[in-house]
Amino acid sequence: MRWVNSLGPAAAALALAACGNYSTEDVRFLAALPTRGDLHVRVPASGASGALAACTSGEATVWIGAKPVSDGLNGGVDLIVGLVDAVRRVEPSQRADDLRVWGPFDDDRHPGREIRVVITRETGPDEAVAHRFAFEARVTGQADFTKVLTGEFEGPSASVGKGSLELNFEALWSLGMNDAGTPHGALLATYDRTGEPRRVGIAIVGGALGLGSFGYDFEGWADGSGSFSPRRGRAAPP
Amino acid sequence: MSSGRRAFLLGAAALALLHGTARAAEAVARSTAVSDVRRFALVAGEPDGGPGAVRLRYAERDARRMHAILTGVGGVRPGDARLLLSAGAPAFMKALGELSQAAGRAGAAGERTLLLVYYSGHARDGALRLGQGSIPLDTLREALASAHADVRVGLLDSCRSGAIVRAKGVRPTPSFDVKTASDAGPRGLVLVASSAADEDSQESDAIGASYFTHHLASGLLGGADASGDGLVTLAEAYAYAYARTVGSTASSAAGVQHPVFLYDLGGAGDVVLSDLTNVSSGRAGGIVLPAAAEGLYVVLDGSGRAVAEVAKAPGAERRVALAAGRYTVKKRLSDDSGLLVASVDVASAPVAVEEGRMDRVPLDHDPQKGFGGARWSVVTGVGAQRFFDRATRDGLFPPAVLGGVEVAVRDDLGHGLGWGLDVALGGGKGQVDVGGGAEPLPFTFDELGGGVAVWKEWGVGPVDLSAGLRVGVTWLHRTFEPAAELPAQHFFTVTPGLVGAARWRLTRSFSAFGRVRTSWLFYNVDQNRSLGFLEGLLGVEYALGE
Repeated sequence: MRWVNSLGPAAAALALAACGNYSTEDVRFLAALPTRGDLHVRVPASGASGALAACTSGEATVWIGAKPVSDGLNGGVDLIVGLVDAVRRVEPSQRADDLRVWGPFDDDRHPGREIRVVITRETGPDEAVAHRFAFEARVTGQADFTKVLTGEFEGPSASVGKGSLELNFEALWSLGMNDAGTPHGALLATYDRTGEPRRVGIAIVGGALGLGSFGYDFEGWADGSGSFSPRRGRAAPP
Repeated sequence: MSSGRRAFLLGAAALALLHGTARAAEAVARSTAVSDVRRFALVAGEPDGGPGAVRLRYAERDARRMHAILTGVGGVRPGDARLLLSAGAPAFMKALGELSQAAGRAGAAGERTLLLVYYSGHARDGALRLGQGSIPLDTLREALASAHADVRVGLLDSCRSGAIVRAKGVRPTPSFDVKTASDAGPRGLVLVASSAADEDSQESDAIGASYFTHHLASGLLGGADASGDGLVTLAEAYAYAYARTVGSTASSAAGVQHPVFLYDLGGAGDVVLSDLTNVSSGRAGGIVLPAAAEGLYVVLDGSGRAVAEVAKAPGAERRVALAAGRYTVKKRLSDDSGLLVASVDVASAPVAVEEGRMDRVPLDHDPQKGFGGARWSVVTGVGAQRFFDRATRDGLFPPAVLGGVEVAVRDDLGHGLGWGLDVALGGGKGQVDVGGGAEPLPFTFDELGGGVAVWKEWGVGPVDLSAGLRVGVTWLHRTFEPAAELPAQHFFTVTPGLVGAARWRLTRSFSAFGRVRTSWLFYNVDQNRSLGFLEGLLGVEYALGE
């Protein structure tokens, strides 16, 4: 029947008329991205109750050493945070059932550079969710991307899950995307935000901040108290 | 000779007779003007004719219309009129007896009296059928003949009502003797039936009345004033109603309908049934058709119903008495090339209808067929929206409360057809379940929508029902709490659907309004999905220009 045949083009026209970024799946993928708070290394401020708690744990010398290190790391992390924020402003360029790709899009802060973000999702038989994400960059016009930030975690969100991150500062230097305060080497971090206390392990490798290697573990509680412990005899995260 | 043929001859004979008497009566003073006679009226509308009879649609409306005319231009004091609607046979006879007695008392006090009985309803087997009861025509005739009034007039608009005159037939009335005409005025009995003894009387949806009553009423309002003197006599009214009823039913499926007449009057002068002199003198509202006007004019009220028809011949001015209000006057051009239409606001003074000031419109814009021109209205209300699919409601498009405004235009595209533009704004709350035992992400949902709809409307009693199609567009938007650091999301698409509504008119301008819409939404961001949603709205409609 002729009118039935005309339904196809009509449906196609309506599909073309539909547009937007209204996606619950996008929300789930974006929720998996680490937030600024997730990436920043938080060391209790001097004189605050959290600092006192750290001191009373007997690790004051660790805290005294960790504070300037973390301040320096956060300067480099800000660059990564900027990338994460950019992803939140840009609609995914590719959507599949367990895949989202953003970009490549121009890096506003570094002209001539392009960024791409890839997140994949795996759902286990027990409905447990795991994400892997990679922030990649390249010089515009080049074919290959270099991974700047990679990570994986279990759980629906980096804010509440358990996983690891690797910030490759050396890649930023090689791409010319570094700032004056960008450290060298790489930052390896593990975190477990699935319960109390929340644990963060930091390891710096490859000469970041002028350190050959440096590592510590931090446990924080909801009341703001926390404790640091040094990585004795090893630099890499457990 | 067929009974229809006999009826035609009876009517024609009566017409000839009446024209003769009318001409004779012109020689005498109109001493029987409405103000000179104490008038009593019994008006009954009975749609229920008992078992096996189809309920009449317009019997009660006919009665109300005649009651209004008789107590208006008919000169019947409201206290001397009885309006019975579906009251039954006992109430009818009781009221007739009471009015007869009242007329008798007035006569005893020296007043000249007239008793008019009008009935619209069923008649069968020689009897009026009033619900479960009946009144034999012979009984009614005898009751009228013996009523205590100088003149008794019976007007019956019912099937086969001509039987009331069959027993005696039409007989020539005593000639008016102009030389000996006394001041006693006419005395006697007049019976008018809407159809012959073997004919059905017909109603018309187009005019919203029975044919006979419609033309009789039109005549009393001025259409029958052939002499142009502002007084409509019984003879004029009958002649007009006869001609117009025969003409209107000539091509009907039920067959031509011939009103019949029993005229048994003595004395001098004619019986005046309505007085339009107040219209001509400017003391009452109405329209005036100039002397040169010629053709069939139809006057429609605000709801598009015909309240009067005037078959106007050139030579004399014609007045039509109308209550205050807005009317549409139409005239079909003689070459059938179109219509002349004019809107008339009648207040307390007559309004001249000048042909040169009427608008020429195509025949398919006939206001009598519901095309009274575009009628605009504004609808406002609140409602709710809900997607059919539960998963969609839970995480994507949550239920929303909407407030909207709509402009509706009726009878612009055709009779009973409407179209409208609508816009609505609203929103709700929802949350996204990210799984894994994590806290759901709450969001605020906003929606802006609009569309254009076309529909067909039907009147069912006091309610207008409609159904149609709509094509809308909708913009959906949601924002998350700042702590979630999630971007706002939006979606825009076209939403075709179906719409149904009910409208209950509360006043002339305001109606209660309820509407249900079901629409289709094609969602294509996460995946291609056909979604449906339902919207309901309750509100108020305001008719512009009413």
